[in-house]
Amino acid sequence: MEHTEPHSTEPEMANRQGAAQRPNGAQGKICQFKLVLLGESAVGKSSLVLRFVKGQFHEYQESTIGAAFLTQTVCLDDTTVKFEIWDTAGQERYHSLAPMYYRGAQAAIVVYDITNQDTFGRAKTWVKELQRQASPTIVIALAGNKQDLANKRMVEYEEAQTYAEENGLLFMETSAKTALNVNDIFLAIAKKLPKYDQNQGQSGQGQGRRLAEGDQGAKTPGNCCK
Amino acid sequence: MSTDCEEDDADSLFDINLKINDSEFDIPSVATPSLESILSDMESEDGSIDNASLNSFQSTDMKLHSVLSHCILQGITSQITSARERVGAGWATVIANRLKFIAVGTSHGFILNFDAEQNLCWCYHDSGTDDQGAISALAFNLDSTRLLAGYERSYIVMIDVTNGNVLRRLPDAHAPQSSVLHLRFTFKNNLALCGDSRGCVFSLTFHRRLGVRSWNSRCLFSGATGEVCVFEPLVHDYDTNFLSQNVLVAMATMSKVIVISVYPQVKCLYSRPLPRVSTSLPLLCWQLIPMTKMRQPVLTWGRGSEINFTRLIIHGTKNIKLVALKTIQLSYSFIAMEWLSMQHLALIDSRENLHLIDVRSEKELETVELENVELVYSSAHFKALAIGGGVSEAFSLAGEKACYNSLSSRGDQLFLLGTQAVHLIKLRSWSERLMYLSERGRWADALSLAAEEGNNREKIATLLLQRYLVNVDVVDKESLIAAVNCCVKLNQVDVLCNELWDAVSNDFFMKELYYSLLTDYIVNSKLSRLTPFITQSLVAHLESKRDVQILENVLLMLELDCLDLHQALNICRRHKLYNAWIHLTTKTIGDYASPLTEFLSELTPFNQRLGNTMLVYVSSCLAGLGYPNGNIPKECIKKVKFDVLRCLETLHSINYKENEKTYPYLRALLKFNIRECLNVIELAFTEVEFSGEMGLLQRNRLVKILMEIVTPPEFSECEEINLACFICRLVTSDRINLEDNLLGINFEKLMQSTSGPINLRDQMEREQSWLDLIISNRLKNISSDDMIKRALESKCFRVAEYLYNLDKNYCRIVECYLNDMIRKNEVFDYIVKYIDVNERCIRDQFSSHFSEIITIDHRKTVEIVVEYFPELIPQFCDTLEGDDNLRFQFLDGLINCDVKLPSNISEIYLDLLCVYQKEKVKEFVEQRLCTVKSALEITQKYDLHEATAILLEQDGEWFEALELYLDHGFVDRALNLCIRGTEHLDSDEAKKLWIFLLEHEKNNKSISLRQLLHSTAPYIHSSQLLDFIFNVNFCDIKTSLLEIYTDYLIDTYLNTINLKLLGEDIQQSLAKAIAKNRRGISFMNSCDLCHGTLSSRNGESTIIATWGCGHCFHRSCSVCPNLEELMCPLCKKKTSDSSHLHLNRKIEPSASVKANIRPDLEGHF
Repeated sequence: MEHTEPHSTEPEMANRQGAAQRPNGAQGKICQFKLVLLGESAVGKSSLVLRFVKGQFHEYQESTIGAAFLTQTVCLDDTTVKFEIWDTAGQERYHSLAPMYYRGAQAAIVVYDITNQDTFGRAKTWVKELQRQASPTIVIALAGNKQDLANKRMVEYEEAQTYAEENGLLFMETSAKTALNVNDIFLAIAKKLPKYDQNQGQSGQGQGRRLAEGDQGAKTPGNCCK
Repeated sequence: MSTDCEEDDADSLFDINLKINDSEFDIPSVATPSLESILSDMESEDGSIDNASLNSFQSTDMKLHSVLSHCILQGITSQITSARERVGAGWATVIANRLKFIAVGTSHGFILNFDAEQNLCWCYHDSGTDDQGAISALAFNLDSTRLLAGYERSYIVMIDVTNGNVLRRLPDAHAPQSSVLHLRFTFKNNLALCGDSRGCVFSLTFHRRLGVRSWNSRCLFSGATGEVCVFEPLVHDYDTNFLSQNVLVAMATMSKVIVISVYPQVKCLYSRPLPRVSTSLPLLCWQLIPMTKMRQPVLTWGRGSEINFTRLIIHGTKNIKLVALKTIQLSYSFIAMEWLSMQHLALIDSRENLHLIDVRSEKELETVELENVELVYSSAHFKALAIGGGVSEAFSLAGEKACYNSLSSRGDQLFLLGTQAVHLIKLRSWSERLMYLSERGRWADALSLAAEEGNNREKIATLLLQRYLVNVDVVDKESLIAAVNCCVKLNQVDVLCNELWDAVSNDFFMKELYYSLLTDYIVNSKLSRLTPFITQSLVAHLESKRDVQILENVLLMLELDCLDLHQALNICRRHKLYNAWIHLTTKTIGDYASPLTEFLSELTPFNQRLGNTMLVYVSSCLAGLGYPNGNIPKECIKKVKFDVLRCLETLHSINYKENEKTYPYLRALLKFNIRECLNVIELAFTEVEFSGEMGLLQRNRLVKILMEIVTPPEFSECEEINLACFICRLVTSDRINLEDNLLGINFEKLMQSTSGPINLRDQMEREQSWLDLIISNRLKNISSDDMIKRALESKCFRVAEYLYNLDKNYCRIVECYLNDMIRKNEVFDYIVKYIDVNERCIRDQFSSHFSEIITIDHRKTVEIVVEYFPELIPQFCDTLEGDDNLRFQFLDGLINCDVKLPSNISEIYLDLLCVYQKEKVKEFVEQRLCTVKSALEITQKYDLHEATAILLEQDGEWFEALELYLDHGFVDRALNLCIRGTEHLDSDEAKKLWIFLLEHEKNNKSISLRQLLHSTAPYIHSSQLLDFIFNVNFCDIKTSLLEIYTDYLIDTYLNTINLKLLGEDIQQSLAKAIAKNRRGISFMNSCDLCHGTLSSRNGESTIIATWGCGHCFHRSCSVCPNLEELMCPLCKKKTSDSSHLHLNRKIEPSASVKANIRPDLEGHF
């Protein structure tokens, strides 16, 4: 993973004072995106995020309360994309919380369980809700999780694929357990997001820390800095 | 002068200027961009003077040392140096500035004029004025077109500033043989003022007639009446209309400050004495100061260490007043004073330190040492050395440190003329200060300064922050504190959470500090939003710190959408942060029933914190209020109330198990604290949801549920009674209506007798409810007797009393009181209240329950006995037999009430007293209430010797008493006894007493001999006393002996005098007697006995006896044979002996007195 210097755009004041420009190269573009995971409970949202952020998988992932927050940074060509991930709870009682998180989110992953038809139906209602209430530019991805249990499949790949195409969604079948498509779906989202430096005020930040903290992030397949 | 002015020609240059005054002269006296640009080059990019930002100085407590900047004007300095070196211009002596120009005068009569870029415009030197010496004063006119230059040797020239040509020469404008010290133009361009070393002030008027320039001078103030040290005309752009018509000048002489009007007429407006400091000169300054809305001219004047501010108030053009504003006392003595901007005074003290003072707050903001400036002093001019003096001594002494012409201010800048260079002191604006501090790496100061400003400075402050973060590799503590403060003040959450975090995250200690700072700001509700990432780490950090209370506060204060709920709620569960948990769940999910369901398993009577939290939570939910703070959104209130109530009324919990009891939530709350829980419900009953028809049904339903839940054995009798009371309250106030059978059950519960103890509060409530029921007539189906029985059984004595009262069955009421644990003490009130009501038979009840009553409060009992039943005292005393303590307290109370007890009771008391309060026995015995004999027996029984002795004394057994005292070492008492004995006994007995004492003491010596002698002396004769004293220290008796000796001397002396007096008396009486005897005696010629004539008519001789008393008779008539021994039979007086007897009588008493006098030694010891 490429390590960019934090001060990609020197503040005006510093420039005027002639402070030396740091040798940080021209590529230090940093984008920060808010991403929200939605879906029925026990479809594997938390596992998916845990796999992406820490590269871990727990067979018995505890049920999320409210929403959990995680961050992960990926490199995409010359851009560093930093995801602020809100992993929401799937239980019905927390449904009312979701708007707090998807409002102002630039991306959403709606997760369903391919072994459970109901979760797919629920995913559809989530997509509808997002389309209706979230930001119009939101990038929505549909993730059919638990691909490792394909032998118990209840939702056909084509069915979901068709639905995704109709609604302009990114679609992948993933497996948090085997890490299939996990990074890919996040990267796909990162690619689809608008890359203009959307937050001037938050330039100058170093992602080194974030990586150090989520150590496994560095070990994720080298697909982030191709 | 004024007439001259009017005659001015239209084409006179200055007249033209005068005419365009209003429009053209309206130039601010501060700052034009051109000069600023120099400063900007030297200082910063931000040239505009920002007076508003200077406000921040007022709030700055710390001395940042960033307010003043100091630099050398190189351009000017090098020109002066080269002029000195190349053309021999000499040293700089004077500096003046106005608008675009700065002029410097030198010691050899050169004037150098510089423009704003420090370029030399021209250099003037008139060889004709060579002999005039140094330039001693310079003055520009207001629009800087003319320059007046005064010389040391009294010459004055006027120069055209644009080209340096001389326009006028004024060789003799003022007093000859004096140096020009001051020159000032007034607001009128054709009027200038000149002050010289004689202390005189002249007005200089300039004219131009037919192209010929002329001038006129007039003496305004003569030095003869007081030397003017300095003057300053008011030229500030205040009110041009006023200023063009009035010329005001402030002057300071050696002793006072005066303000005069020079034009239109000369008039003194103001005069105040100056502090008398002979070594320093007075100082004057005008400045416009913003007051309310307008800027008002203020005269600053002072001397030594005192500064005064006087405000000029003008109404119209005529009415001019000066009002004193304030006085500042400084700790140093200053020699120069100039304004820097409108709020700051620059003062140079006598040690050449420049102090910057904020006028409003009177605080010193900064001190700059000017030692290296080498300030130019013009004391030589003040002493007029060049023209041979002629200056008064006071003037030259004061002028020792004169530097009026070495300073020149403009706006917020101050030019200082040093011997080597021209210096510039400048106030920094806010942004300049930030720049200055940040360049020096004083980030903490810079950031604190940045945080102070709130209005429209966020951008600069943000830039500063970023620059800070870029430039600082290792964050230090102070700057981090300042940076966090700055971020919070400017609401820069992004900077705070991203850049600043990056800066601290690698340093453990800084991270700790960062977290604690954040926590402080959050807890003090100055910060409510962080990025989710920082929130997450902060929460994790606080959890690791184990300070859960702070963690809870933080969770309560932070915005919900920046919290990682999963993390936060888990932590809350783990650490039992109930409040935070409830806050987060209810506010985010809006699930108000979940706190009840969530903590059901933990809600035990032992978990006080949770129990109370739950009760308050339920209560506030039912009242439609948010918990732990805030409000429930209006549209949700109804739902919340419904949810919570439904939850309470839920028959089974979600995780229903076989053994679960019904209504688990309500049951848990009731089990936790039934009373508070019922209170919550009662409170809730006042809400809208519980009112009306539907509300009644709701209430009934809830009460039935409660009755269903609260049953033994799970709930104790007390708890049942609690519920019963609660229901009774509702019933009596008609808030529920229950079926009769339920009511009956409830009443039964209320009236049941308890097996265990019941706490007082419950008991009281129960009685109250019961009474309420009786009063509201709801228990009419139970007979009175039955009820009394039940009331007594269940110990509801208040109810019983009430019923007895109803039945007029008074004789058991006192008993009710006595049995009632709560109202025992009220029995006295009851007794006192009804003591006179016979039918209440208080007396009988009192007597029969006396021992119980006295146990409650013996004091009150005694009071009642003394007041109402004194005759029953013996009876009561007998009643108490066997309980000595009570008996004693009772009797003691009586004694204290001064009741005279009969002797037998007194003896009982004495006996008890001996047991309980031995120290009071003596006192009591002295009252002689008991018979002596029995009392003696008692005291002897208890070996109370003192008391026994007192009793013996009372019985007249003095010696026994004395013996007792002495045996037990009460020597003092023994002494007193002896003294008393002397009074009561005859002298022999008394003497025996004393001797007994002395004898005893001889062996024991428990009292010092001196003391003993002292006490004994008045009663026993010295000689006897001395018998007892042997083998003693001489010292002990020395005084005694001395006194005896002195007494002896006195007695001897008295005796001598007595004898002398007696001798005289005898002599006198003798003389009297002799005189008497020599008296003639006349008598009648008849015998007083026989009444016959004495003379013998018949010639026979008769012997006649004659006495001194004048009686005479025949010798023969008197029967006595011996005439000499006879008295006059009539007077029966022994005439011859009478005088003798008389004398003897006189002597005797004196002798007896003498014999009786005992040496009164009392006073001598």
